[in-house]
Amino acid sequence: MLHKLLSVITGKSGASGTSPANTQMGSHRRALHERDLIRREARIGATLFGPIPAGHNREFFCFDKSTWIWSEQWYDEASKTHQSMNVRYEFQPRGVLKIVDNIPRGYVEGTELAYLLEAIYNYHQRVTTEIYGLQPAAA
Amino acid sequence: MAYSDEALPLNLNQDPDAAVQEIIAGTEALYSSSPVEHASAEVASLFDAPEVKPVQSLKPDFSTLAEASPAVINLFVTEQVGEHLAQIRQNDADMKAGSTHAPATVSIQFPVLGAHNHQGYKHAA
Repeated sequence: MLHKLLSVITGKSGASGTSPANTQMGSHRRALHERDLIRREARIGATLFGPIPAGHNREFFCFDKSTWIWSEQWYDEASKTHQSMNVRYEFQPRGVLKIVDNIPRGYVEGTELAYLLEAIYNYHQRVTTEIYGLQPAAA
Repeated sequence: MAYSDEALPLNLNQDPDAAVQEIIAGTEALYSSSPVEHASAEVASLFDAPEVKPVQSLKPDFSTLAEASPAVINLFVTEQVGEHLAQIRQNDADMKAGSTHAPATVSIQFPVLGAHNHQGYKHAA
């Protein structure tokens, strides 16, 4: 899973080198399209949690069927450095595990869980219709 | 007082194999009787009860879903939302990969995990 996440972030394809050249090209092209789709979804996802602070860049997207990513970057005037935060929500039978900057922070509950589920619902509705032109009810 | 075999629960004069067969027959009769059918119907009625909502019925109201058990939340989000999104995304990517057009240029840059500076971090997650 981590390998797939890194391949999405870095833009390097995980295609096998043993495939024929045309298959590799097809896989590479398909991976590029998939990353493009994720970025388009992330733009919609960024709007689901209220206004974004000035100077911040935010993405929220479904990485795979059980993993959701919140990523935010900003420039900190005080320290004159670029800051970032990556939150990974992993859906498990025991709960929704929150991992902040690769450090597990426990299972999400209460208001945060309600907001997260609401955001996921709205994300599904909007992405399905606005990007893929489908009806979410068909899910 | 006259002795009577009929007063005993098991006929001691009976052939042992026949006695075992009798017990087996009695056990089978017990488990094929109505109590088992009644229990099955009772379990089935639980799933028909209005308070036991199928996962699909939770869909329109996510505030209800937040109150569900972690297993139900996990099942709903992974199967009903995540799986659907992954599938339509894959279908779209497959369709576009088959075309001769170059993929659209993207401008959003994702951060490299682990390359950030934790100091000065003030944002509440």
